[in-house]
Amino acid sequence: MKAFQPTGDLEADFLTECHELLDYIEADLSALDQDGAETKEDVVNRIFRAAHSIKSGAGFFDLAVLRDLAQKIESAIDLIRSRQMPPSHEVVDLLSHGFDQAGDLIEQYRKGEPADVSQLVAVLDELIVDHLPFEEKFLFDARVEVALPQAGGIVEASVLDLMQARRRGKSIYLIRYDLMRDIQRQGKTPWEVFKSLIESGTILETVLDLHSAGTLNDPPSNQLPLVVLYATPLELERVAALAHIPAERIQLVETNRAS
Amino acid sequence: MIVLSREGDKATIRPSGIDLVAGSVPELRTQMRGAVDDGVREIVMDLGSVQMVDSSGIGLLVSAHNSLHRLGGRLAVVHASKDILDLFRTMRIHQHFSVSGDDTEES
Repeated sequence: MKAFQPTGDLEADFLTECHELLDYIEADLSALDQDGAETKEDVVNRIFRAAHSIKSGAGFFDLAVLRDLAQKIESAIDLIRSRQMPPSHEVVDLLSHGFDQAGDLIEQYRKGEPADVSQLVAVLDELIVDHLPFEEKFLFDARVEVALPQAGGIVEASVLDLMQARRRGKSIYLIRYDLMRDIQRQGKTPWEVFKSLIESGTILETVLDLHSAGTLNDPPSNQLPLVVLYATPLELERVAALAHIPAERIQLVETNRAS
Repeated sequence: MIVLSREGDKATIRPSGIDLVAGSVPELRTQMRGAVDDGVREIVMDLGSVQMVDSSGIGLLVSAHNSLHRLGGRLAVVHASKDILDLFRTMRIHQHFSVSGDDTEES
C-alpha cells in the first residue's frame, strides 16, 4: 500500500471539504436513523451526495482506500434511495460507522498511511449484495467491455458504476479529445479539463491512444487522442460546452432518464 | 538545461530549470533519441525540478515509452510533483510505465 502525502493544494482542499461534508450530514444520519423509511427524500439525497462527492474526489486523487469505502457507502445509500433496502437501525449504524471510518482515513491520509478498512468494506459488500435485485447480484464488482463504435476498440468499465449511472438517470457519453488540438493549442492544461468534467459527472474510464504518439524516431505527432467514458445527467450540448469541444466529437452511448 | 547521466544501458535525464512543455520537448526528444540509438534501454526521466507537463510533454513520454518498449527496454518517471502524478493517474498513464513521486512508488 502506498504512503500518501497530500502536498498539492487541490488534495488539501479536497480533504478539508470531506471533513465539512461529514460534519454537515451528521444531523441527516440521525434523522435517517430516527425516521427510517419515512425519512424525507432530500435528507437521503444529501447523504448520498456526500458519499458520492467523497468517492469521486478520492478516485480523482487516487486515494484508493477512501474511494473504495465511499463507493460502498454510496451504493448502500443508493439502495435506500431506490427503496430496495429499508434503512433499519442496523443499516444506518453501519453507514454511520462507514462515514466515521472515512473521516479517520482522511486524517490518516494527511499523515501518511491509510488504515486497512477491508473488513468494513466486506461487510458493506455483503449488505449491498443482499439487497441488490437478483439479476444484479452476480455482476457485483464485475467489469464490462463497452464498445467504442466510432473511435474503435473497447473500454472497460465497472458494471456497478454503469448500473448506478443508469439508475440515477445519467447518460453515458464518449468524449473524444485530441490532447494536442483541444487542449494544448487552446492554451489549456489537461488538468483543467478533467476537473470541470468531474464537477458535473463521473469519469468512468479514460483511454489514451499510445500508438498515435509514435516513437522517438517518428516526427513529433500533432495528435494525441484520449477517449473519456463519462456519465452525467447533462444533455449532449451542455456536455460539449463543459468539455470545450465540438458536439460532433461527443457520442451519446446511451440515454438514461431518472425513474 | 538538460542533464543526462549514463550508466551502462541506463540513462537518467533531468530537465533542470525547464518544464516538460512544447518549448523544451524538441531538445529533450533529440537527447532521448540519441541515447536510445546509442544503446540505452532504460531511461529514467527525473522530473524533480519540473513544475508542469503539457500535452506535448505527455506525447514525448509516450513516444519514449513506445521506443523503449519495442526494444525490450523501459521508461520510468521519478520525482514527479503531486499535480503531475494526479494528471498521469487520471489519464491512466501509470498503467503503461512506472511513475513515482518524491517518496512514493507507483507502477
